[in-house]
Amino acid sequence: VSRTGTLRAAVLLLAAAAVAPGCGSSSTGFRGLPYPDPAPPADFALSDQHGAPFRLSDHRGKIVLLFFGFVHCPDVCPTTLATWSKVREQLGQDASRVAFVFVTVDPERDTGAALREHLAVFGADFVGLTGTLEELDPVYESFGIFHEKMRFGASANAYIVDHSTRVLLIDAQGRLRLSYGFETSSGNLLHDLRLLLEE
Amino acid sequence: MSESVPHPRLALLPCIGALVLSAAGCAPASDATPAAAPGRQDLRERLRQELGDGYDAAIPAATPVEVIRGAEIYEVLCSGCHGPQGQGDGPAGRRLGAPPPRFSRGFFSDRATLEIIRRGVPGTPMIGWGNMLDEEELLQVFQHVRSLSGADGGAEDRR
Repeated sequence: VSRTGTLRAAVLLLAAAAVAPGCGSSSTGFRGLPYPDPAPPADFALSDQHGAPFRLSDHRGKIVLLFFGFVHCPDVCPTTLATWSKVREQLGQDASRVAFVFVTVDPERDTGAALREHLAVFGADFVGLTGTLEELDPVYESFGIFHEKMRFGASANAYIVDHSTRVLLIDAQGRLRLSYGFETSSGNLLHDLRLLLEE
Repeated sequence: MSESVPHPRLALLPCIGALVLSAAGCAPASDATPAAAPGRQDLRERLRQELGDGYDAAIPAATPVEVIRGAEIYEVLCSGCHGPQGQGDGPAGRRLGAPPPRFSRGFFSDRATLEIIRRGVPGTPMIGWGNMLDEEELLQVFQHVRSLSGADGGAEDRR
């Protein structure tokens, strides 16, 4: 699931379509929605799906694609991961210059094992991050990530998480540079990645 | 199981997104995952071995509560990929590699279907819902999936 609040995401998509009527190209040449003043985001440290520490700033020099989702997400997360999968494949050797990073918005259920099993379906080197709520909340906050449990049944685990759906791109200089709606095609993501890899 | 489901609102967003992108002349391309799904025959045989004689044990008809709750949970968790009528044509399913199965052609036996809902299909985007739903809820989802099955074929698709 995921629909940053249906209204919020719809407004973002409308805005993206409005600024990019020619199939997503903006005046910057990128297909993604540019941040007006790219700057490094607040650094963070979490644990990956293998239990190893992951610090964002350690990945300077790589482009980082960042997405916030959860394993039991029934729609937006698997389709985003499938898109990443295609992008990774089409990047070929350049894929080693891009980090695909999935941060959970459901740390209670998304254990390392759950993330490991799920991400392996889409990309062996995709990174899944989790942590305590104390560790994750500042990360959500600094990137403006909305997340809210939505219950649909009586059992304790019968909930999905309504959450922000955009993919964020941090460039090789560590600057938060672009973002993408969840319906963005692999072709549009690939277009921007190739531009950035040439910078 | 007394709470109502928020899905009708939630289900709108992919449609809104598709509409917006389509209006901008930017319908999303289909993206495939490279994961190779296990063959249907392999999956069936694995389940047949695990379930033994229980594989063919029929599950009784749905109660009125199961009909309603199963449809509601299906709409939240399943229709994004499997489609509202189980045709394998949900907006998310279309963007995954191999399309989800069409329940309307018939599916596996009752018990096998319930086990797939519970455990998922390893190596594919179909995750198991067994650590999210309790037994009652799993059965409700099964009842809805079964209600979609067989419209175009037999009770079990033997392909």
